[in-house]
Amino acid sequence: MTFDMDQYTVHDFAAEVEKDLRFELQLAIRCVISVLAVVILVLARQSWFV
Amino acid sequence: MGAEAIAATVGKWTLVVFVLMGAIPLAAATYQFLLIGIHRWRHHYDQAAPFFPRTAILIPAWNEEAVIGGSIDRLVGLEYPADRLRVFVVDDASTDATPDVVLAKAAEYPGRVVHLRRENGGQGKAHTLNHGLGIILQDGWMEALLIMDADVIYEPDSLRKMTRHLADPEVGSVTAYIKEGSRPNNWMQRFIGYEYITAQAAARRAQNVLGALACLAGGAQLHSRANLDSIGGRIDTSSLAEDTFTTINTQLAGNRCIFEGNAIVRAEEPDGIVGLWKQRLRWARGNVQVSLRFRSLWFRPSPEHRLGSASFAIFWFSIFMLPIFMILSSASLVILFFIDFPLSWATFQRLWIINALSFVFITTYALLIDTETSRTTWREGVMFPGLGSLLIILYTVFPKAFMWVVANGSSAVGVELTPLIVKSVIFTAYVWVAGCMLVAYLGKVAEARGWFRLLSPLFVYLGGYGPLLCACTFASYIYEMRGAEMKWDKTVKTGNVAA
Repeated sequence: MTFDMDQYTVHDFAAEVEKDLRFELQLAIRCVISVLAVVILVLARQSWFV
Repeated sequence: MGAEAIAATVGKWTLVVFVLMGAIPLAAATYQFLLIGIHRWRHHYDQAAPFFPRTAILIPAWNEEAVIGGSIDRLVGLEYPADRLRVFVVDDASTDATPDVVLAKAAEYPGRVVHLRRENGGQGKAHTLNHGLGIILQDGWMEALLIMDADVIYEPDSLRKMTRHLADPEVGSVTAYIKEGSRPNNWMQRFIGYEYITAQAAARRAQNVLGALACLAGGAQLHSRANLDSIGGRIDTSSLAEDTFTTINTQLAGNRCIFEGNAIVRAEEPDGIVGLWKQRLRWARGNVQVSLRFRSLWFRPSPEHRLGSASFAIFWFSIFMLPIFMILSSASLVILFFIDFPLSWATFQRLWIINALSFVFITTYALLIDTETSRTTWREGVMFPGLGSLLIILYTVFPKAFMWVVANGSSAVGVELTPLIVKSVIFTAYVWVAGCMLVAYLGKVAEARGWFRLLSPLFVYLGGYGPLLCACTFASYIYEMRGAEMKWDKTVKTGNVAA
């Protein structure tokens, strides 16, 4: 299938960038989740296992 | 306090510092991973625009008959204007059917595929690239150049996702996220798949945030013509790390390098330790050469580029000097074991608390960054430091629970945990900080020795894939100190990358 450059430029580019930025936002949220995992681990270590 | 006592105290605390230096690499990696969290707000998408420069794709090829035909088919099918894309294959004196396959594709796609031949090949990738580059630069058609490997597979939208950044004239080069793409993949390729999440999808996003990129992936480097002109129109041929040289020279010329993590490229990686070792030794020796050649850059901030920032240097040297940190840490623990055991034990625990928390954060986040790859590689992610280090991490995080299991387990098999046994285990753990590299290296030794090759994965899972790479970095120091010949050992490709 031939790639339609005009269609992409007018309609698809902005949507594609928005999708990619949404993914980058998800990565930021996943970073917070991972930090929380460490915090939970530290709390668990202090309260249950030591 | 007498002079002798002061000297002893200073000596002990110096050893404590050396031990804790063993935590630098993981602490630096944690810092790097935290930066990814702000990539959403410090990125280059605001300057990106729909942009379709006339792009020449340059593929160095030596005996690539198994993969080159499929690669060309996929490249001409990319979601990119057909009249703005040409594929140039530089056949580096192949002795198989590579020229026939490329010529057949040139006939199938007239004007879009070009076969270039070097009759005297074997000098390495940089020479092959320069052969093609010299020809492509002779006329004014090319506005951007994509350098790739013969076996890699670009997702249909990946090239246009890269070129959109070249709309900003300050950007000289763009690279993509290379994923391990072998299907089916074996244990080694799963380790590499996980490693690439950390080393590419994660580390390069962090470098975007810093504004300094360490390396454009060899299989996916897009350059503007202006950038190629600014670096002299040639690829450096004096080292084994031509990709890194190009990356650094680009930034020194005042042009930005961007990592586009949403442009996906799949590559076939080695399926065994020997193949991995050859590839990584070449990369590691290249890094030694880069560290020395650009020694005036490190820790020297400049208004022209961000390569001299402290953060970038910390990232670079925490990897480059990893074996030194591990050996220094381990040796200092062993000395402290004999001269002040309580201090050694307290320091060891602090070292591993930092390492354990860093490991949990990095592994959790890495597995969440690329969930597609994680589905098949999460076990290798968990086992990345090796079973030995994983046990130390488990003890560090849950000491009482761990000791409860050990005590009950040993009494179940009739072994009494005497003080001698406990001290022996602790001594082994001290040695393990660096000894894990040796254990992982035994995997390479075993793989080359007949039936022992069956044991080689066990050594890597026990010693760790990370320590295996450390051993390779250590070997690179030795090769460079000996001034060993720079050989271009091509990684064997079979063409089993899933499109």
